[in-house]
Amino acid sequence: MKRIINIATKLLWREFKNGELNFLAAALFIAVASMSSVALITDRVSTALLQQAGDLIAADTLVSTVEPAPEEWLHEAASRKVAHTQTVQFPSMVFRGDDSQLISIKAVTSGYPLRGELNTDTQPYTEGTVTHDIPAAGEAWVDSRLFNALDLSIGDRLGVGETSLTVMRILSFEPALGGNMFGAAPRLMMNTADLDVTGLIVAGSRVNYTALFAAETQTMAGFRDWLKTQLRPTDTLQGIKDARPELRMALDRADRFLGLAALVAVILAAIAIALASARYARRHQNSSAIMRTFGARQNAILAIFSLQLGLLGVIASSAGLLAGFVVHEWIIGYFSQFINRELPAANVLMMMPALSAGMLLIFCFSLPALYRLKNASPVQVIQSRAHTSTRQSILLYLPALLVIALLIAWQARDIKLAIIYFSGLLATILILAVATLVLLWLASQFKSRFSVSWRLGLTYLSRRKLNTMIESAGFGIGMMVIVVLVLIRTDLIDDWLVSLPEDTPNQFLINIQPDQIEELSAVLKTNSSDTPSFYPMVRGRLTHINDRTVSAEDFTDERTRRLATRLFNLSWSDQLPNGNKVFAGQWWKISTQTPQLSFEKDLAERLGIKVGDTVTYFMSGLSVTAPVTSLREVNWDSFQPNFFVIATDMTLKDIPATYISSFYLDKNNKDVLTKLLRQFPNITVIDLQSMINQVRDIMEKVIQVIEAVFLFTLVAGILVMMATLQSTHDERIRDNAIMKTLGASKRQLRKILLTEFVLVGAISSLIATTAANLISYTIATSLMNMPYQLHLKSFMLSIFIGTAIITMTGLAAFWRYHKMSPVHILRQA
Amino acid sequence: MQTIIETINLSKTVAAPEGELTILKNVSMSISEGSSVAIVGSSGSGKSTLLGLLAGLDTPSAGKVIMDGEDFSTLDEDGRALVRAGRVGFVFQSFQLVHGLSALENVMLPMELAGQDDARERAQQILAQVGLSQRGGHYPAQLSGGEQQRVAIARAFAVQPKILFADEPTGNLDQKTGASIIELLFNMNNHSKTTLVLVTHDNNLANQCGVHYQLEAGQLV
Repeated sequence: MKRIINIATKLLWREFKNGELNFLAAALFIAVASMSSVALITDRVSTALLQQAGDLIAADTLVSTVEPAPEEWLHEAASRKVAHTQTVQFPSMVFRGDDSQLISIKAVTSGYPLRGELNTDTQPYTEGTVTHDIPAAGEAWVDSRLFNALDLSIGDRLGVGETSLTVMRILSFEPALGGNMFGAAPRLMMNTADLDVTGLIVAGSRVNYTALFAAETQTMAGFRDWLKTQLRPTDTLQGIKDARPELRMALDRADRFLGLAALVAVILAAIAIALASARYARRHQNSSAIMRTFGARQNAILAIFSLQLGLLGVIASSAGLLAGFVVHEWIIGYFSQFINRELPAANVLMMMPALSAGMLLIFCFSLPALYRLKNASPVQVIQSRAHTSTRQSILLYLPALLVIALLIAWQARDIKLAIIYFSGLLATILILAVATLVLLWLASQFKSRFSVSWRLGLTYLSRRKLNTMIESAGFGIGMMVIVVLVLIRTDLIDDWLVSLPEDTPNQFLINIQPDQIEELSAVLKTNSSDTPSFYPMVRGRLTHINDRTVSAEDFTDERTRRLATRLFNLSWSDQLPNGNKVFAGQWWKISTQTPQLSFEKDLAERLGIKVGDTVTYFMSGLSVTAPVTSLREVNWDSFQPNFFVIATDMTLKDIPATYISSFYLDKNNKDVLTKLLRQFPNITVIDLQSMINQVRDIMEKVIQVIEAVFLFTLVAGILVMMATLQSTHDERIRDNAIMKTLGASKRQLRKILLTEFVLVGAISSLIATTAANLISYTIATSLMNMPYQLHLKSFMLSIFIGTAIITMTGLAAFWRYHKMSPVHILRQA
Repeated sequence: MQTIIETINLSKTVAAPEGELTILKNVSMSISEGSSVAIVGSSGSGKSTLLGLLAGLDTPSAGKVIMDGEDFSTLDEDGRALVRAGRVGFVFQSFQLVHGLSALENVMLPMELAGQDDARERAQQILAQVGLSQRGGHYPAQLSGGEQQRVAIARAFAVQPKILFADEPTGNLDQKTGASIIELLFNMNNHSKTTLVLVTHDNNLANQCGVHYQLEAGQLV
C-alpha cells in the first residue's frame, strides 16, 4: 500500500507540474469555493435578516404568559449567555382631569428592547429619534394617539391607577408589532418599578407577562429548544416568523432566492467536474494500459488513480475552502455597508457540506472513468482497435446522479424546488442531446447546398456525434442556469419589488363604523391618491369543524392551538381579493345567496379543514354555520388587508360589523392623522411603515447578495463552457492539424470552426433559453406565488447572446492552435 | 537451452461486421531463453496479435501460451499481469510513453510499480546508456521520434526483464534513426542476455535475429 501511495503521490505531483490536472483541480476548486462561500454568506445574511426582523418583536424569541416568567428560566438564560428582559402589559384607563382613555400599558425593565430600538420625540406623529433609554421611574412615555386623544403636552401628569406619572416623551416607534394588531389600543410605556404603586395589578387582572430573549443564533436555538420543554399550558412561545405572516413570507422568499442562486453555482460546478473527470479518464486510458503491460494489477491501477483523485480532491477542496472563506469575507465586507448591524460571526461548520460535496462530486463523477481505467486492456497499446468495451453498467452513473440530486435538495432547502430543478436538468440534457441529433440529421440532408467550409463543419459535427452532443449539452446547461439566474434577477426580483411599491398602504384604519364610511372616504381621497377600499370585519371564535367541537387539546402544535382558540377576523366579499389565489374548490358567484366560507390554505391545513367541511363560528352571540367551498393562497407581504376567513355576504348578514381600510400616507403628511383622529375619535390608526420598510429592506439586501453570488455563478458558468470545450478539445485540435497538413488555409479552418460553434451554440442557446423560461415560470408560479410573463425580446436576445458567447469562446479557445505548426500538434496528440 | 515461451495451437478470432474474422490459426511455436526471435509477415498477417498473446496482454480464442512455466490460460487478467511484472519489457511502434511524465519519470515508472527504491538512480543510468542523460527532464512531446524510442528502450530494460517484446520498433522512424535504434536494442539485449521477441515486416531487421517465424494470413509458414 505504501508503494501505491508513493506512486500515486509522485504521479499526482508530476501531472500537476505538467498541467494535466489543472482543469479538474480548477473545477473542484471553484465548486468548493462557490459552495462554501455561498453557504457562509447565506448563513450570515439569513441570520442577520432574521435578527433584523427580530427588531419588530424586540427579541429573537419571546414567551407571553399570564404569570411572570419563572426564575429558573432567567437563570438558565443567564447561564447560557442569553440576554433577557421582561415586560408587563395590560389594559387600563388613564385620566387627565375629567378626560379618560382606555389604553394598553406596557411596563418595561432595563435592557428593553433586546432587538431593535425605541424612537421618541416631543412632537406627535413624527419618526422620532433613536433612544437607548427606557422611561425612568415616575415617567410615562405615550404614543401619538394617546397624546392627541387627551390633548397632552410634555410635562403633563397622567393618573395611572393610584399614582400619577409625568409625560416626558412621545413614543414614535416601539418594536412590538407582534401579535394581533387589530386589538391594539393607545400605548403608555412606564417603568416596571412603578407598577406596585399603581396598584393596578391585583389577583384576576388581565395581565400579559412577556419574557424576551436574544442571543447569537446557535445559542438561541439551543435555549429555545430547552424553553419548549419548560412551557406551561398558558405560555405561548413566539419567534419573529411566528409573529408576522408578512415577514415570514418575505424571509422565506429571501431564503429561497438565496438558495436558488447558490444552487445554480453548485450545479454548474458539478457539471464542470463531471466533464473534467471524463477527460481525465480519457487521457489516462493509455497510461493505465501501459502500466498494465508492466505488470500492474487492476486493483493497483484502481488504487493509484483513486488515490490520485483523492489527493487532488483534498488539495483542491482545501484551497477552495480557503478561497471560499476569503471571498465570503470580501462580499460580507461589502455587504455590511448596507446592513445597519454587526453581522453574526462566520460559522465555519457551514463550510463542511461544501468540502464533503467536493469530495463526493469528484469520486462519484470519476467512478465510471475509474472503472474504465481499471479495465483498460493492455493490448490496446499495440492494437488501437482493441479498445476496452465502453459498455458499462448504468449503475456506475447512479452515484453521480444521486449526488447531484442530494446537492440540489441540500442547497434548495426545498424538496419541491429540488425536484423542479433536477427534472428540469435531466430533461434539458435529454432534449439537448436528441435535438442535436435531429438537427444534425436535418442539416446533413441539405449539406450539398452549403459551401465547402460549412459542409466540412457539418461533416465534423455529424461524425463526432457524441462529442457534439456533449458540447451542446454542456453549453446548453451552462447557458440554461445562467439564463434562469438572469431571469430571476431581472424579472422575478423586479416583480417582487414591484409587489411592494413606494406607495404601498402604510396606514391601517380599524374600527370604522358603517355610517362613517362615506365621510371618511371623502377625507381620505383628499389626502391620498388612491380610492380607499373598505372591508367589513367581524370577530368570531371557531367552535365546530363539522360536528366536532374545537378545543386547543385537539392540536399538538403550539401555534395551531393558539390559532384555533383565538378570535378570528372574518370578512365578506363577493370578489376574490387582490393577491389571493384559489388553491382548492371554487370562489363563489357574485350575489350568492347561500352561506359559504373560504379559508386561507395554511390555516386550513393546520386546522385540518378541507373543502366540503362545515365550520361553525360563534360571533356576537350567534352561531353561524357554513360550508367551506374554497381554500386560498394569500400574498401576505402585499400589505393589503388580508383575511384568513372570508364569507359570502349572506353568511354574515345578521352580524354587526366594523370596517377596516388602508391607505398610503406620505411621511411628510403625518398631521393628517391628527386631524383624522379628531374627526373620527373611535377609529384606530395603525402605522405599518416600519414593517413595510423592514420587508423592503430585506428584499433589497437579498438582491445585493444575489448579485454577489451571481459572480460565482458566472465563473462556474464559464468553467462549464471551458470544460465542455476541453472535453472535445484534443480531437478537434488533432483534426485541425491534419486538415492544415492537407492544405486547409487558416481562413477555411476558421470558417469550419465557426460553422461548428455557431450551430452548436444556436442549438444549445435555443433549447437552454426555452428550458430556462420554463423553469423560471415554474419557480415563479408554484414557489414564489408570482405571475410570470415571457418577454419575447429578452427571449430572442438571450438566444442571440448565447450563440455569440459560445461561438466566441469556442473560437478563442482554438486561436493559439492556428499559429502552431501541425507537426507540433500531431506529435502532442 | 530452456524454453521460455511456448504456444500450443493458438487461435484468435474476432467479431467483425462481415462475420467472424480469424486473425491467428493454430500457431504453435517455442522460444528458447536468451534467443532473439523475429516474427515477420506483411501488414494484417496477425503479427501484433500474436505478440499481444505471447505477452499475455490479450487472451486467445483457442490454444494456450506458457511463459516461464506459467500457463496463461489458467490465469486471469491480474494473474497474467503478475507473471509479466519484472519479467517482461516492451518496446512499441508508437513508443507509448506517458505524456504527462518526463523522460526520466517514464523510465522510473515500471521500477516504481515494482517497488524498487533506487528507481531514480537506475533510470538516470539507463538513460545515460541510451544517450539521453541530458534529456531526462523533457516531456515526450519535446522529444524527437528517435529520442522517444530510446526512452522506451531504456524503460523496457529498466526492470532487467527476462523477455523483451518489440512491436515494429522502427516502424515510425526514418531509416537512419531506425538503424541506430536497432543497434541500441541489440546491444542492450546482448549485454543483458534478454530473450528478444521482435515483430517486424522489415527483413533487414529480422535478419539480425537468430530465429525467424514467418506469419501469413494468421498461420506460420
